[in-house]
Amino acid sequence: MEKTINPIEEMYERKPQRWWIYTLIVLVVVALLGWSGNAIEYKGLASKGSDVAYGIVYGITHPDVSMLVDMTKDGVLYMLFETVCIAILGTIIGGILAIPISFLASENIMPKWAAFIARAFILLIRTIPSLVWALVWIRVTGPGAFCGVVTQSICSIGMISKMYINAIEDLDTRILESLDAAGCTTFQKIRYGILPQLYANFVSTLIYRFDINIKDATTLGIVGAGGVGAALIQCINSRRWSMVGAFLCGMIVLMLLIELFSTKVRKKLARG
Amino acid sequence: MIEFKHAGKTYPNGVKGLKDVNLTIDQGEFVAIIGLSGAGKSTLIRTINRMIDVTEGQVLVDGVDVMTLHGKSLRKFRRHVGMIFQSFNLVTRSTVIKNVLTSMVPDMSFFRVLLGLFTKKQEIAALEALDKVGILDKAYTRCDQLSGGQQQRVALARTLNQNPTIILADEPVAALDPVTADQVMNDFKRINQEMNISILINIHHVDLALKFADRVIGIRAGEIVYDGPTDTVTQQVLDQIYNGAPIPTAEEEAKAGKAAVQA
Amino acid sequence: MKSEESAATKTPLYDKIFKPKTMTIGNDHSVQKPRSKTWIVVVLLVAAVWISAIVTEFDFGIIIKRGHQFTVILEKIFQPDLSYFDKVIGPLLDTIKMSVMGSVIGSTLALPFAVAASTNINRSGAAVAILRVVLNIVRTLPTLVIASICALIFKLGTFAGTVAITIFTFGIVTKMLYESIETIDMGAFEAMEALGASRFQAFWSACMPQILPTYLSHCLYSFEINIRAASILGYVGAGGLGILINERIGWRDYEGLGMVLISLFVVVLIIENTSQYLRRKLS
Repeated sequence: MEKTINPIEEMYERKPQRWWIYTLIVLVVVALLGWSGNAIEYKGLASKGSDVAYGIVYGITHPDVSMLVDMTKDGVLYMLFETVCIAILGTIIGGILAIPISFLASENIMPKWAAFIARAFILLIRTIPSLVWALVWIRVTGPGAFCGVVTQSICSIGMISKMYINAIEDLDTRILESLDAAGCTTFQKIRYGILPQLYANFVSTLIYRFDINIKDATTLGIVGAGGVGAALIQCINSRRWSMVGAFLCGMIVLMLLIELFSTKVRKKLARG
Repeated sequence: MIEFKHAGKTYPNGVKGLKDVNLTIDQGEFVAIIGLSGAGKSTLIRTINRMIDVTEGQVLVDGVDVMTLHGKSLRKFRRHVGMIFQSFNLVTRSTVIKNVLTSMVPDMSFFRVLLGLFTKKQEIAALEALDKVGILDKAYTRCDQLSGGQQQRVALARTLNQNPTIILADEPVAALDPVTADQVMNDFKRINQEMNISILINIHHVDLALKFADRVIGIRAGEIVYDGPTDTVTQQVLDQIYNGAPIPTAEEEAKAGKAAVQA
Repeated sequence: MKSEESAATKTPLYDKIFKPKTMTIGNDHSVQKPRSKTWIVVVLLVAAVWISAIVTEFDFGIIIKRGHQFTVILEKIFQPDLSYFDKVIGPLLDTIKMSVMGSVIGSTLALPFAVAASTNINRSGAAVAILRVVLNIVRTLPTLVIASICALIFKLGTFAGTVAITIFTFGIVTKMLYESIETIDMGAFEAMEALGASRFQAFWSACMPQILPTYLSHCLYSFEINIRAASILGYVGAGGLGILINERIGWRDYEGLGMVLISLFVVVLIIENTSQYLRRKLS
């Protein structure tokens, strides 16, 4: 009996000791939490804070129906429509601007240093919050939906190029070889060898970004860049809860619809 | 002892999985169940540990009707019935020993499960189970680095670690190459003989079934068409099981049959 | 099941209106070529762009005429006022702290909800459906709107921001996580059930090891996004860099704004790279 146990005991002793890694991770997380916890002090509810919380719930359950059915420029529907328009133009322009930039930033096409510069540029665009872009562009275009379009065109470049670059770097170059063998010109190679590979991916990226842009466009209004945001924030600050409810209900329905559409189309594109 | 009394299974979509099955399997038997894909082999095996419910008749294990078991009593019953799967069903990201240890989980307290704390005694038991199937040296390797045969042995060790009286094996060697399949079947045979564990095995490879099993059950379209000791299985019996008159009710089975014959 | 069958046998409406073209080759074999649908997409897209341009009063001329304004501002941003850094550091740390706290709490809350919203774990279809609608609604609310409401409910400051980030993180991590959970291999779960484990035990021992790396990766990813999201929350009074951004732009102090943005840029760069390194290690 002793003999058969021995190799097992021996194996048991060889058990890898990982506990210190886990301890380390736990310690780091706890330390981070402790560090961040000290700045976030709970100062209690604001005066009438509970009224606000109640108001929100009341507003969402009792939205101002007259605003929801109002078809004029002050109605929720028109503002949401404007928001969608901003997102459509912003996404398309951003998507077009992103094409040359992402080719410049692809390491399998451009020299390393050029790609690096392009990537730094993309990161710069991505880091600056869209709200800041809007605040800066507003000096150029003045307040309004057009400012939103310009802002989104620029902001979209960041994420769209990032995803374009992935697609470009995953290009299957063996197809180009076979087209070369078939005697194709450079233009023909791009048209029939590269575009079909990128097309689905690019469109999918655009639709995904459109989804994000819709959500983003609702907040751009807060700084005056058109869409639903400006009126919404005004209603929140003046505590007209049933109007807030109308806006929120409209936004939720719109975004659920857009997301449904976006996932459906992207699934179709992915399956071909 | 496992008994089927007029057991039948009708799936919600109307397909008959089993029709009037009557069987008695004694403790310590090594039974191979053969038949075409879709003939009901898996259904037969899975009704024993209630992974599938029978809709007609009874399935008795050691005198207990499994359909009367629920919740806790069912889980307790399953502790004594091991199960081996075609695709091994291991947590491939985890180490071998962690996989074997999972068979202890049902007996552990909530917090031990939550934190994944196992006692030394449990770990030694798991290592012993691994030793029995001959892969002790792989104990601290991640499962996804093992070959198919080794992974199936890990699954076998996991099952042995729960000290079962019955092992149900659903196509355990279908995903393995012939040499490895032979080795794994050998493991089953050894376990069957050394520990007196009943083994019920679904198997596509007739030659392996005849080589290792004591008893062969042939099943066609949910019906038992042959049941007898291995040495009485003749070519005629196999023809009856595999190439019997086409069954008009189940088109899919005929299709699957063609594929199996071609393969 | 039924609708799929009928869809396969019935000709789609489109093919009824625009009959597929029959292509016949030399040996009289023929194949049905469905009419292209590209033109519909093109027409819709052109119409959408045209309408959008009218609604948003798109005028490229303005950009050409007044574009120099933008470069003036940009030039100032790129000559940051370095002495302003003393004022930036406090709110910058607040922003990071808000993101850390919000990410940790949000992701922790996300785990049980994601499990409950996965169709392969939770067998009650109705519960999954209700949960998903609620989660979708949580996710559609823009962070800034949540933050401005939080700033009214709680006092102005970092606490409101943390709550907003928590809700935002909860929304996206839950969604990403239940999508991952639905793709895991359920074999081990089945094996655990067969050996007598309860559903919780089976989930925890068989599914958790598979989910954990993805889960942590999602958490890190949300943390990356949160830093950027948290930096603007101050705009509606929820603490962090946003207060400064608002203030600097209001005073047209673009050099100061430049300093704020550059500090943010460096922090984002460091955090993104660290997080991406960790995520690569996880997969």
